[in-house]
Amino acid sequence: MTDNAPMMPILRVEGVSFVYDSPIGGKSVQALNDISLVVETGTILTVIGPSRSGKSTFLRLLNRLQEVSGGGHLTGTILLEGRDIYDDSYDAYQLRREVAFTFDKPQALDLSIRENILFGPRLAGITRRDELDGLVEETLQAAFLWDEVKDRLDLNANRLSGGQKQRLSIARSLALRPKLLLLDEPCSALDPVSTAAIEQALIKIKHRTTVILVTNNTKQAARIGDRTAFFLMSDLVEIGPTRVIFTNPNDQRTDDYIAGRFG
Amino acid sequence: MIDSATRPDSVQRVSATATVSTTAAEASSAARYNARYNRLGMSIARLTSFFVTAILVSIVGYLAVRGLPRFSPGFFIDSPINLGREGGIFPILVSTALLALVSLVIAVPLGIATAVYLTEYTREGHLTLVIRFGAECLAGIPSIIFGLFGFMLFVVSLGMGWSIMSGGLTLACMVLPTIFRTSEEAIKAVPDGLRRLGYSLGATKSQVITRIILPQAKNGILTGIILALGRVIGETACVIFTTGISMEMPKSLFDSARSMSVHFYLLAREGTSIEMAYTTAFALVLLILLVNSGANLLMQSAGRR
Amino acid sequence: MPVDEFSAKTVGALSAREERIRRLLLVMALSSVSILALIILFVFREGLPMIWKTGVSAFLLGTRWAPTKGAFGIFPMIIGTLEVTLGALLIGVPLSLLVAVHLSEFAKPLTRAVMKPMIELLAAIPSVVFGFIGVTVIVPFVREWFGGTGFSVLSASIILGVMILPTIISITFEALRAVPASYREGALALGATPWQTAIRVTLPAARSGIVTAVILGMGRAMGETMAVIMVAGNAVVIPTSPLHPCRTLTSNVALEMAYASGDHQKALFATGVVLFVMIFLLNLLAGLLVKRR
Repeated sequence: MTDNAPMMPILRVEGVSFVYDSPIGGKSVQALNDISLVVETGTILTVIGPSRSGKSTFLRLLNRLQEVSGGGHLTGTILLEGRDIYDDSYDAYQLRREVAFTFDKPQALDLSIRENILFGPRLAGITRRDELDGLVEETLQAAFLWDEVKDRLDLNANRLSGGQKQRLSIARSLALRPKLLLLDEPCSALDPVSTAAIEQALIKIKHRTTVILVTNNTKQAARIGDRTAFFLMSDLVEIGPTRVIFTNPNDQRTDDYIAGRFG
Repeated sequence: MIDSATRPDSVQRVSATATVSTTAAEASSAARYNARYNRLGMSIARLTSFFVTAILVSIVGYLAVRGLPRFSPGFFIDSPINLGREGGIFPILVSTALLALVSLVIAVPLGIATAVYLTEYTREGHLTLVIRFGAECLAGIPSIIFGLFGFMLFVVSLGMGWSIMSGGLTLACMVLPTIFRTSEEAIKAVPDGLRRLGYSLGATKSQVITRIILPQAKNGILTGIILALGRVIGETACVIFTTGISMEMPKSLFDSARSMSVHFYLLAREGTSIEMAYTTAFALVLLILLVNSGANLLMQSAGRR
Repeated sequence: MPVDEFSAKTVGALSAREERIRRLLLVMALSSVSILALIILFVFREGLPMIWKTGVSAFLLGTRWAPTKGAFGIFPMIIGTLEVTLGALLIGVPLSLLVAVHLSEFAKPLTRAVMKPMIELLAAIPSVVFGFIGVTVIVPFVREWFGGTGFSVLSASIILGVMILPTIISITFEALRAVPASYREGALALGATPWQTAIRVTLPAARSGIVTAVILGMGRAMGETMAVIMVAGNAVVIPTSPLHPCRTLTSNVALEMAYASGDHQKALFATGVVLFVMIFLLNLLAGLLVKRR
């Protein structure tokens, strides 16, 4: 289905289908079926749906991370600010800096907190000391982690708690200065306090960095989403303003899912 | 129950002795028999283990007792006098170090590159099969054949003569599979999530490898290098044919030289000096045990992470 | 609508620089195979013509080795190699299995943590040192208790039997550890004693790993040079008693390489060819046995 969105879309997805290559020669699996939607700049799009509905695959296609983990066939186009990200002229590495990604499992590189943040910027060729230091503080502030770690930036990041590591992940993504931040169930393994901190952070950054958040937690989607998309069995069932999706959805299935009648 | 005593179905047979017995008396006698048999078997296994462990201790202890009287700083910093009957082993230590250096400088990059290529750049297929088969065969080839090969290729055909270079290259071929295999294990153990994380931060493939995977696999790779070092130091057969037996201090990598193991072999075999042989053997074993204990410690710290 | 092959995309996504790195790594990864090919080339090129010249059966089955007089028969060395290898297995395998079973099934974690590294360190002791211990301890022991000169098949078998212990123990240990706990629990639940469980259930379940272990140990024994040279006596005779001296294929090469030239040297390479083929067949056998299971 299509979606009539306001002006200035940062991302436009047109008729995207994706079929996984089966690794052991069996049947290939349809993961996404004719998805079209747009995401406008400065908003949070929350994506909900039961597990294995295709939401994570969708997210990984948006910064071409999917091709790192496995093969498959993609049809349709994905336009970032009007440019086809699967065009041969688009550098996938550059794309991944413009469209940052935060994984579901809190994961730290085996480096200090500071170097975790600076890993991406250093790869991007930023070497000026003051700029790097500024990035560390700015991103840790944005992820609500600064106060907890400002005195021990040289501590190995694996010593942090799960919730702290996940906020570090967000700070690390933000250090790329992305246009778009993708989060794949970032709070699924976290306590309520860390979850609240992350939600606050996302609301705070969305004016600079558009956010797409995949979540299994419908309440979370309702709390922070500007618009919400509902995926079910590889289909995009509906997308619209979060308030509408949660109060007066068009599709009976959306209503059932939100009411907890399945999922 | 007719099944051969393999597989889990032999469990049934085992149970037969315990449960199918007809009378209580029979059952208890069978149980007593089993218990005695059990104790006996376990004791034998335990004694054998202690015996085998004791072999290492007694080898080291024996060499220590016989070798220690001549063990002194002078032994390590003096040159050998009178074919090694007197004096020390200084030039031999230097030659051994150079030999190890040459072989590792060549084998380490090749071994790591092979491991990286197989784990990060290809899926399992014909090519990986061929490469793995090659490494496996190489690992099984006896050192004497490496000696023949190194002699023919490096010493004769390439005209390097008996030299540290010829020996180092030959040893590099010999330890390449060791380094490759341990590196591959270590790289495989790096969680996939870290690779994806690297890519998500805009890293290219080579950046993911050099900045994430290799640092993470560092301890495992180092373990392999140290094990290879131990083998290089202890190797004799292929070194004699490729490096020669000159006791002089080597002036360049293209000079003939004598490694510690070769020196020890010549002392012991030609009966030059049995006391010096003991001392050299003790020094050699001590060195190798130190190197390998280092590898063991690293391996444990790698496993903990 | 464009259809993208993702696997193709990934490769295409490598930049020119990344592609160069990939190619460099590929070339380096081919080093093992290339070295293997070079070894075969150089050893066979020297050795094979000599085998043809002497005649395959005259070379392999001839019993007279007098290289200065043009007699090149290596049958005694083949028999010598097989005998010491067999002897080493007879001594090494039972010990290894007992130790592996003890460490894997019965030992306390602390005992295991101490013993296993120590046994593995045994593998690090250079073969010349084993040879030396053989000369100074084993050979006199055999001379005194069994007679003869002491330089014998028996002495070589004892030393080799000890040398292959760590190889067989480590691999058997890993194989035993890989047997699912449910096998043991099943046997124990049916009233089997721990010993019965280990011998009748766990060991048989791990047999493919044990076969690999034994074959690798065998390869090590067959290829060992320096230790054997020092204790086996090295006489070119077909040993008919464990107390007779013998010469192995490896010793034959090592003993005479230093002064051999011309046909003599080529005959030593030919000895290497025979050894190579024997070891290669052994490895092939190991590969087949492992795959079949």
